[in-house]
This record gives sequence, C-alpha cells and structure tokens, in this order.
Amino acid sequence: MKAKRVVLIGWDAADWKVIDQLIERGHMPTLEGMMKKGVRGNLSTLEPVLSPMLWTSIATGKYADKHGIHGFTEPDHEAGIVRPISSTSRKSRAFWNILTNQGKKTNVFSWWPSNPAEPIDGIMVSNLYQRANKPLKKGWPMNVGTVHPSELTDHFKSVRIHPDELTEEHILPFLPEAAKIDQEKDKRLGALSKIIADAATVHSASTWALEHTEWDLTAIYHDAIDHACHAFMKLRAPKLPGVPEDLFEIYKDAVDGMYRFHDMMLERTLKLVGPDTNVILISDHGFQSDHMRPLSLPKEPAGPAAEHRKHGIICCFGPDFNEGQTIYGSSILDITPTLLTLFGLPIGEDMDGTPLLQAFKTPPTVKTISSWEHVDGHFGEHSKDFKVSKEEAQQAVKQLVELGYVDDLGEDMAKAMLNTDIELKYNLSKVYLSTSRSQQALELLEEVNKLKEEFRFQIRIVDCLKRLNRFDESLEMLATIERQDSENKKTRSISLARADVFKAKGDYNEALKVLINMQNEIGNVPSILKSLGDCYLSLERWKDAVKVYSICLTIDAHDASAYKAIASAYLNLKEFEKAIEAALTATELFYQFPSAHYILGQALAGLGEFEMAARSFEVVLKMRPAYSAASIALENLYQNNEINRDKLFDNVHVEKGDAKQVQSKPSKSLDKSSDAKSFKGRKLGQMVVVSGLPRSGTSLMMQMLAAGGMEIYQDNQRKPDENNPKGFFEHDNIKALMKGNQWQREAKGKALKVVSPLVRFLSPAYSYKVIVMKRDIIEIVNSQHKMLVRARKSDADSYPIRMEETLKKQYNGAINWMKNQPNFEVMEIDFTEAVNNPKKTSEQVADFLKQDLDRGKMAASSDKSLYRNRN
Amino acid sequence: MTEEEKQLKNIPLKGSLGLLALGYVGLQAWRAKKQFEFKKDKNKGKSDEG
Repeated sequence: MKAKRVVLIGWDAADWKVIDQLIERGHMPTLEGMMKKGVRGNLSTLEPVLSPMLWTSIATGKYADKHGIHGFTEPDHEAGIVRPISSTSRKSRAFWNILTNQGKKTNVFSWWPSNPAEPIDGIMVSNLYQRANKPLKKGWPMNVGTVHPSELTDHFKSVRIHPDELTEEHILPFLPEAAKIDQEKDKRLGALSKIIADAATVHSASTWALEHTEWDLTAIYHDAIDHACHAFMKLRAPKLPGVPEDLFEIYKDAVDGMYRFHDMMLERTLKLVGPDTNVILISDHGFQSDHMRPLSLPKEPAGPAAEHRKHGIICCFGPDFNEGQTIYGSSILDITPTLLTLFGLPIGEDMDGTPLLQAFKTPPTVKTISSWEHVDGHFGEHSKDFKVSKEEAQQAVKQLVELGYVDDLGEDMAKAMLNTDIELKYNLSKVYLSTSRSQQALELLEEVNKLKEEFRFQIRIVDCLKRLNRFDESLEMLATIERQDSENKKTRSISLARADVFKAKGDYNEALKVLINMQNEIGNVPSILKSLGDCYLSLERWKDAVKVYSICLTIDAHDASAYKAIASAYLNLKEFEKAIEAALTATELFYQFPSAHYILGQALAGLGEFEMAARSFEVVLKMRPAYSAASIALENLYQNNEINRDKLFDNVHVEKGDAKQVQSKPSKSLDKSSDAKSFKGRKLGQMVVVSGLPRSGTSLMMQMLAAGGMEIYQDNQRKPDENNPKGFFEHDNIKALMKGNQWQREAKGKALKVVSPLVRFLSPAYSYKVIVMKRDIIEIVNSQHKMLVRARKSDADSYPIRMEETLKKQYNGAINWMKNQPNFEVMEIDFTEAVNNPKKTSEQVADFLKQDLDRGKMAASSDKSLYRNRN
Repeated sequence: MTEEEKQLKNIPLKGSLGLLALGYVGLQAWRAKKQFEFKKDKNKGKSDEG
C-alpha cells in the first residue's frame, strides 16, 4: 500500500495552556477540529531549551551531542568570524536526507537551522528566507543559498511580504488599540509587524509549493508564536504585577492574536493538503503563560529560554492516526522515527527516539537499521567542501542580534569567537547533564570555567561533583563561589546547592538547617519548599512533608512532583486512599512519571488490590525497564499473592510486527488496560452518563433520572428556555472536558450529561454506566436547526442537507468506541419510546443502573407535549 | 471586468489579514486589490482634474 503524504508543521513555543483557553472561546476552530478527529498530547522537550538544538533533534531523532548543533551561532575560525549556526554544521542526517535517499520528494520551509538550503529531492527554503532587516525602500535581496533549487529563487523572492507592506488592517486584529502607541518611544509595533510578515512569507511560500509541486512530505516551521511570546507574553492577561496599565491595555491581545492567525493559516494548509494526508503539528517546547511567567530573565546569552516550559504540543490527524485520543510520554526525539515509520522506512538504532505507535490507528511494523549515517547513496547533502561567504555570515548574525537571540558581538571578533565557543560547550554540557553523563559534563564545564570564570559554570560544576559523589570538592567549590559573591547576589542558589550536597551525602539534618534558615529569611518559594519537603521525606517526617508540599500546591496547583511527594508521604503513613488520590493526580498531570506510577502501585497493594497494583508496576517497567524496585515489587506480588500472570497480561497491548525489532526499541505505546487509572476507578467511583447526539433527548433522560432521585452533576448555568423548557442539566466543566477531567471526582456517583463527541475525553479512572439516547437523525437535524434559528445562528429557510450523514457517523463512531471500552457499560434508549412509553423506559433504566430509583416519578416526568420536531 | 477584478471575485474576502492567511493565492489577491485601488484612486484624481 502506498504511504500517505505527510505534512509536519512546527509552531515554535506553542503551548496547550494557551491553545485550550482559545479553543474554549471558539478562537482556534481549525485546531479544535484537528484535535477532535486526531490525537493530542504533550511533547517533552530537551535540555537546553534552545530552538536550533531542539528543531535539529526533531529532524534527526537524536540528542545534540550526536547531531552537532549546539547553539545559535558558531565560530568560523578559518574566516575569522562568528556566523549563525548553519546546516553545514549538522553532523547527522535529517529526515529530509533519508527521504531523499529513499526516493521521496520532500519540501522543507524555514526549518531551523537550514541555511544554506540542502540539495534534497524537493524544495528547501531556508530559515533566513523570510527575514527583512532593512526598510523595503532600501531593497530586499535574497541571500545566496536561501532556496533549493536555485531556479526557484526569483519565484520565492516574489512571494515574500515585507513588514513595511503591512497596513493597519493587518495590525489591528492583533492590537485593536494600536493607535495609542507612541511609536517614537515604543518600538514594539515594528517588532510585531516583522513577526506577522515573517509568518505570512513562510505561509505564502509553503502554500504555493503544496499546491503546485509534487511532494511526499512537506515540513513547515514557524517561529512567530515564540517571537510573539517573548515580546508580548508578559503583557497578556491576567495582568502581572508591575505591568503598567496602559501597556497592558495595548498589548494584552498580541499573543492570542498570533495563535489565532496560525489557526487561520492552518485552515488553509489543511484545505490544500486534503483529507488523505497525515498531518502532525508540533512545538519544541511550551511557554509560561500564567502566574509562572518569570518577571526577570537570567543575564546570560540565551536567557530568554527561561520563559520556556518543558512541554510542547503534538497533534496528529489524518488517515493513519487514531481519533479522539490523548497520547502520553512523547518526546521531540520521537518525531523523525514516527515520520520514517509512516513511510514504512526503518528507524536508525542510533536514534534516541521511538515511533509514537500509540498515535496510530493500526500500529505499524517498526523496522530498524543500525544507522542511516553509514548508508551510501544520494542523501541531498552539501558537499564536504561547501563554504558560506564571510559577508553572508555576518549579515545573518546581525539578524540574530536584532531578534535578541544573541548579544551584539561588537568589534572584537576574537573575543566574540571565544565567547561563542564557550556558549557552545556550555550548551553541550547541559545535554550531558540532562542525560546523566556527569563526567563528560564536568570536563566541559571545567574547560569553559578556565576560559571565563562565571557563576553559571561553577554552580553546575558543583552539581557534577555532587552527582559523582565528590562531596568534599563540591562543598569546597561552593565556599569559593561564596567568597567571590561579595554582593551576596547568589546566596539563594549557593545555599540551595549546599543543601543538595548535604542531602546527597545523607546528612539530612545539616541540609534541613540550611533550608529552614533560608525559609525564615526568604519565605515560601517553591525551590526552598521542595528541597525542604525532600528532606522531610528522607527523614521520614511524613506529616511535615505533606504540609510543605501542600504549600507548594498553593503556589502551583499543577505541580505533578509535589503531588507525587505527597503520595509518597501518605503511603508511608499507610493512608493508602490518600496516597492513591495524590499519585493519580500526579500521573494525570504528567503521565510519563514512572515513580508516581510506582507509588500508585504500592498504595494499591497496600489496599489489597494486588492485580491493579501489578498493572501499575507493569506501567512503570514499560516506561523505564530498569526500574528495579518495580520489578521486585511485581515479582513479590506474583509469589505472595498468587496472581495469575497469564490473566494479568491478557489485556496488555502486544506490538504488531516483528517482535525482535520492536524489542530493540521499546515502544511508548501503553495500552489503556495497562493504565492503573482505569482500575482504581472501578473501586472508587462510578458515574451514570447520559449521552447521545445534541438534541437526541438527553435532557429528557436527565429529567427522568432527577425525578427518580438520582443526584445530577449540573451547575444550572444554562437556564431553561424554549429549546429545553425543563432545563438542560449541564455543567460548564463537562463542556470543557477536552481541556481536562480532574473535576470528575466531584461527579462520582452522580449522573452527568455528556454529548457523544465528548465521551472519549472522560477519565479512564472511573467506570461508567452509559444511557445513550437514540433518535431519528432527521428529527435531530430539525431540532438542532430550530435551536440554531432561535439563537439566530442559522437561517430559517436553509436546511443543513449534509448534516444527516455527519451526525450518523458521529453517533456510530461514539457508540462503537464506548462499547469497546472495558470501563463502559452501555444501554441504548429510543427517544420516541421514552416519550410514548415512559413507564417501560423507566423500568429499563432503573434495572440497568441497579439503583433504587422511584420508577413511578421517573415515568411521570416524561412530558409528551415536549416531543416536537417529529419526522 | 479587469483581470484584477476577476481574480478578486474568486477569493473569499476575509479582510487583509484573512487574505494573508490564505497564503500564496491570498497574497496575490491582496496585492492585486492594492494595485486596483491605487489605479482607481489615480483615475479618480484624473477625472476630478478634468
């Protein structure tokens, strides 16, 4: 079977926290549609969170030490200049090279770093293509090497849009109050114009190519969201303390406007590629958008990266992807393996990522190859003697300085080259630190610290020494740093590091002294509280630990590590129910959290739920096969509790394809049935769900349940009206189900109305008895149409002809999905029957629910006069 | 009907930003519209003078 075409879209810094808010307001309808019909998830980033390194990891499936891109700029010792990091510095083949070798046509737009454009089989338009650094009247030439094939250079030159071409009509949707800006003093409007023009230029070029060229894969990268966030996120609502009111009023909508513009561009892209194309939308990291926005940035090169969040986004949509699912544990390293798998190509065993099999409708066979680096043939790469001219390189550096990514290098090029070398090594040391290669990190850090003594290098040397159990040297180094810190600006970091060393030594009381002093002097800040809580856990002061971590949660309610710590404390207090609750919340907030699943397993075992506990340990081992505590716990359960191992693994997902091949690359596909969340729910909570298409009689059934004495989960926000004279029985939380389902705890034991498109988003932590209302589709269409006419959202004379087919598909899709879920029990009720024969329906429902409901009152509540829109 | 008018007729007009969001074809349409309005203004100027 021929592989489907693929579009990979990169939105630098896009974050679900902002997107979900905008979708809730109806401001990103295209992405909302993609999400409903596709899969979504968090995409973990890598350290350091610097875009050129991250997008190269995305394009190669490898950590930066393998791919060789270590920062924004690099010294060219031969030419005696510092130049922007270029495609020639990449040491590893990217997906576009591999696809070229395999006879696939690939178009790549603005990927970072891709200048000079590589001679692939397809089109490559580099990341320097869209930049405009001078006023339009001074000319806007194309840099050499921006476009491959070069014959298309003039064409792509003509489809750019310069910031000076933009008019107020382009700006006002982002800044309705733009007229109030004093442009002499405030240059932000110019910055925004550049960002809009950049995005529009990349979009213009890519849409032309989508429509007018043959391609198998198109990759499009946009940095506009990242740039808009760095410039305007501090001025977004909710207003941060210290932000002047007038600035807030002018710029508060700029970030949201940029997301909405991207949604509009996405709509066009999806229209051009058609329904038979697999689409993957990703970001390399998120961006702090709430109270966690930092008020100041570290004074170091690439300091703005401190505003980034660890999790970016992924949304996959198309014929080969699942529908309406959430995927877990995805990393930016997994994108290239996933792309190759989509094309049926082998992934390199030297790649650090794995294909996201859980996103696929039918998990494909995963093929492997030892490495793509040693394969001969044409890969569309630059020849080894390829050089970038000094002038071009200098021009490109200027652009990066203007964008604020690198400092102005000044006249002293030798010094600039040295500084750049230092930054690259420092960034590489962070890669080593984040992948537990402390000795390699230490060697690099000591080297750079010799060249230029700085606190940021020294404090990381302390960390390396600690990790290598060289505690005395670590403490000596801290004492040296402290002596150098004459103005006491680094006291907090030094004290925290000292406490960490004491903890690593096992000297918890000493660590506690340091931390309590800090708390008394500085107050409750998360870094101190967490270190303190960690100490209490180590000292087995469980209640103190709960207390401290609970304060952490008042500062950041989404802190998964704080929930995990609380779970651990409760586990040791043998308060298993509380431990389960906290561990579940931790895994809901961040699923790829083996230690939280491990605590969950221990707590379940504490309650005597051995099979569920075993499944939790199994999840841990799937995530981290070397988690020996989980292996031991699992083995103990088998030996001591006579768990039937065969039965236990009946429902555990087995990869399709070649088992040996898959074994060599452990998959991240975690079957729902192996997810401990689904088991705990059966014990702790059940809900009655009334579902069906909107206007299929769900409110009627809710009304019957309420009359029968069932407690309803509703907020009465939507008042009874002509459409539902007896009320809607809804809750705003349910409408926002796609965004989150943590509120479901409040709905335990109650009945809730969830329209069928949203049912897939219910938490697997609970079990559900679902009453699905079935009604003639034409009656539903008529009823929905009348409701829209009443709300003046539709024309009374028009009739939505194609709606019937769509609704049928929606209904069948939802009912099939529900019937396949182990925690769903489903009964269909015919709406007409419920109206005409309410007594019989009441009996059926009460029997199905096995609840003591007042059947007479249920039957009496069905009002035949409300049966309108009959066919 | 001029060429520019014909081209504009086939593009769903969503305002200038909407045209940019349509990508290549929207940019062409927006530029054609600008050109068309520029010519219109110029002709209007001439007839006013006449």
